Parts: sequence; C-alpha cells; structure tokens
Amino acid sequence: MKKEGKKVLLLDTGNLLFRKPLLTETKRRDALLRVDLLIQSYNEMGYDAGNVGEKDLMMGLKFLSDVSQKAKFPFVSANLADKKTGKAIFKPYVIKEIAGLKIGILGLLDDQFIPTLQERDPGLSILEPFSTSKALTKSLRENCDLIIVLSQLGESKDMKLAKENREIDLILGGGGEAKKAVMERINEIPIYRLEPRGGYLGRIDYSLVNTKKPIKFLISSERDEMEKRLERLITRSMQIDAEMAKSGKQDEMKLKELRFLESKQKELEKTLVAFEDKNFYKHTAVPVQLAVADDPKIIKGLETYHAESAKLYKPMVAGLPEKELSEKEMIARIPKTSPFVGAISCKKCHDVNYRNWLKTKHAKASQTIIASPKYAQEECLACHSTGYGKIGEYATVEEIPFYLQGVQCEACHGEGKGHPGKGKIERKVTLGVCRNCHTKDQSPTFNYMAYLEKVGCKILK
Amino acid sequence: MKINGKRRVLLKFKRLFFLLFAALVLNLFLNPLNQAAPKVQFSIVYTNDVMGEVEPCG
Repeated sequence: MKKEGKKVLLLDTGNLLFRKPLLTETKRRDALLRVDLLIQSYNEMGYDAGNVGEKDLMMGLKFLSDVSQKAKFPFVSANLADKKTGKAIFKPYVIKEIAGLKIGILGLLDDQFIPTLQERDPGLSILEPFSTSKALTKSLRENCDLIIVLSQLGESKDMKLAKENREIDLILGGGGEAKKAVMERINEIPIYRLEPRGGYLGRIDYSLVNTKKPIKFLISSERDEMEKRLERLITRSMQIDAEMAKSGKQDEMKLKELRFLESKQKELEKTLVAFEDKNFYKHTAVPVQLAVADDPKIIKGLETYHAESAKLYKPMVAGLPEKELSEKEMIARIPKTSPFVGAISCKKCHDVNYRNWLKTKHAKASQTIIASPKYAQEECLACHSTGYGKIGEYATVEEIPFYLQGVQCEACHGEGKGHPGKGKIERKVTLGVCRNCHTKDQSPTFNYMAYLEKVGCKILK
Repeated sequence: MKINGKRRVLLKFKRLFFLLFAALVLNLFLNPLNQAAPKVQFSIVYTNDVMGEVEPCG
C-alpha cells in the first residue's frame, strides 16, 4: 500500500519477539535468529510504531533496548517505567502526521505482569495503565486529531479502558488470554484485535469529510452489518481465487459462485456510497496468505533464517531405532501410563483403516516438518504429531516418541487408553476437530468433506 | 421583423441564463459544500501478538 502511494500508518500492538520461555541454549539461539529476521522484516515493511508486550521483555530490558536500536521504528510504552524515577523507559507515545492529521499513538502494558518482570528486571515497574493513559491522552488531545492506544491489556481491560477514557479514538488490542479476534465498540470507541500468530493484517480505512476537532464518526449498525457482509464476500472470493490458482483449473461451479459474489459485492458497495457524506471508518481483517504478495527480500531473509535454524538442531531422524522394531516390540514399548496407545495398537482391530492411513499425509506429518527446514519451529509440532501438549512437550521431531509421530488415529478420534470399553474414542470426527489444525490461515483451502476422503479412515470399496 | 427576431433570441438567452442560474443555486442548496470538498483518506494497518501462542492440537 505504501509503495502504491497510499497514506498508511503501520502499527504493531506488541508480543512480537518471543512466544514462551527459552529453556535450552538451542532454543535461545534459534529465538535470537528469529528476532533478527522479524526486525529486519518490520524495517523492510516500514512499520511506524510498535508497542512493548510482556513477551518482548522475556530476555530482559537490556536485550529489548538493543533490539530497539536495530529497529527503524520506535517502541512505545507509556507505563513501563524506571522504578526509581517513575519515568517511561521507552517513548510513552509518538505523534505521526498523516493526510494532514496528527495521530497520537501510545502503548500500554498490563500491570499484572509486575511480579515476573521484577524477578527479571528489579529496576523496572509497570504503572497502573488506566490512570497513566488518562493523564497522557488529556495532554495529547490538545495536539492530536486522533488518539490510538496500542494495548497489551487483554480484551476485558481494553473494554474497561474504553469505558473510562473517552479521549481515545481507537484501541488496537493484544495480550491477555484471548485467542480470538475482537471487534467491539464501547462508548463509540472501536476495539480491534486479530487472531494471534500474524495470519491476518487488520486494516482500518478512514474517510473524513469533516476534520474539525473533535473528529466524530458516523456510528450506524446498519452500515456495520453491511460492512461485515461485504468482508465475508471478499474473503470468500479470495478463497475461491486461491483454490483455483492452486488447482490450476477453471472450475465452472466456482466461477459461477465467484460471479455471484462479485455481483453481491457491487450491490453492497453501491448501498454503502449513501453513507459517504459522513466521517466513517471500515475495518477489514486481511488474510495474509491469500491477499498479500510475498516480498522477495523478506523471503530471502526467511530462507536464511530457516537454513541457520536447521543447523542448530542437527536432526538425527534417520537413526530412529524404532523403525527396526516388530509390532509386538513397539506395543510393548508404549508406556502403560500413556493415555495414547498409538496407531500400531489400533491396527489389531482396524487393520484396513490402519493400512489406508499409512498412505496418507497424516501418517507422514512429522516427516514433512523434517523435509522442510522449518521443522525447527516448535509450534509446527502441535499439529504435526499426536498428543502434543498432553503428554509432555517436545521441541524437535527427533524427540517425538514413535507412537506419537505423525497425525495418528488418536489425534482426531481421541485418546485410546481403555478402548474398547471405556476410553475417550469418538467415532465421528467433527469439523471442529479438523479446525484445531486446519485453521483458516494455516489451511485456507480446507474443505471438510474432501479432506475427510483423503485421510484414509473411510474403507474404500 | 429583424429587430423583433433579435429580441426574441435575446429573451431566450436571458431565460436560459436565469434557468441555469436557478439550477446552480438549487444544486448548491441540495448538495452542501462540504460534500464537494476533498475527503481526507488514510488507512491504519496493524498486527498483534505475531508470536502469540496457539492451542495445542488433538
């Protein structure tokens, strides 16, 4: 958008650098490589500001300060302060000018994070976010046309913030426990956040006919409903485009659906024009994989990272001794305490299903991570193995016990201990179960019926 | 006859001018000036919790 000359502010609400505590030296070194890649990519994309999140401080303040020196954008935090002086460590806010308007951007961090923070950095303190923001927005209001809060307070505190501080024009959220996207409006203050993991970009398009302070917006539920319908239509059109591009075929049914969606889209856009003589904004969650073209520089950086990361882990999968074991020996090696019994145990009664499954991508799901240098990324294992997080976490493919490698029967049907008889086995695999891994961003072309056919459980006639 | 013809043309022009002027005033009245003013347009693009956790599968 910036390259096309559009007026854009690019912001990050925090928790950019780390995911969870780095327990081993290998993971620490891998994380450092990833931080370099992230900052390099954010510089390349031209970010304007980023908030400090709890996880960004995982390696200490000194580390984050060093990282901020490499970033071409400022890190902001209004309530991360020096314990002695009470002064903000990073810039509490920045004022950016866009389209002749002054936009004040401030960052907030959740003060519930104090105990762990002080263990790591005793000289730091997190000021109470609500009173801090109130004092700051009051003074910012004099200079700024709009005030944006980049928040790491979590969903419920974002709502509280909107209730208590009417000077704010927009809250972009993050942090907390919520894993869902949020689109709320409290006291006419919009609160937005996306699903975590960067699968989506949030885009808010502003169109103002009256910029006299204080800037007021048209709030209309009718318009909101139309916007939502329009967003759904656009996302579905993008999905169809991606599906056809992937298959390389011009499916007549899909083309028909596409034409129908386009006509509906035009109708809605025509109706929306009626609202255009008022100040308004429109929010869209843009699926990155479908709608944003890869940048060659960033892809190159990503490839370098994958190559360097792969060197750290040195896989030794070829030497797995279990491959040489007989079925009996394998079953004997499955711990009696494990709630998972492995596909090899299911084979005793479901031989045909087992043999079908062996031919599927599910059976090779752990190996596909090894084939790609991305395998070092621990988060891939959650969906490329069975029972991840339920019976211990493993960081690399070679650490996965043999009876949990790949997406085995129990990944979809449930834990097999006690089956038949007791146990938690579910015969029918619902769409919800598939969606645990086949999320919209990870698996944009997912189709429940078509994919069910591929996984091999159905006995083919 | 010639003078009358010229007058008639002149009167027609006057009437046309009056009608055009009235249409212009009416147009301005119905479409306030601020609508004709250029709109201020910009976008805010944001990301959150890029390294956020996901629920383990299974």
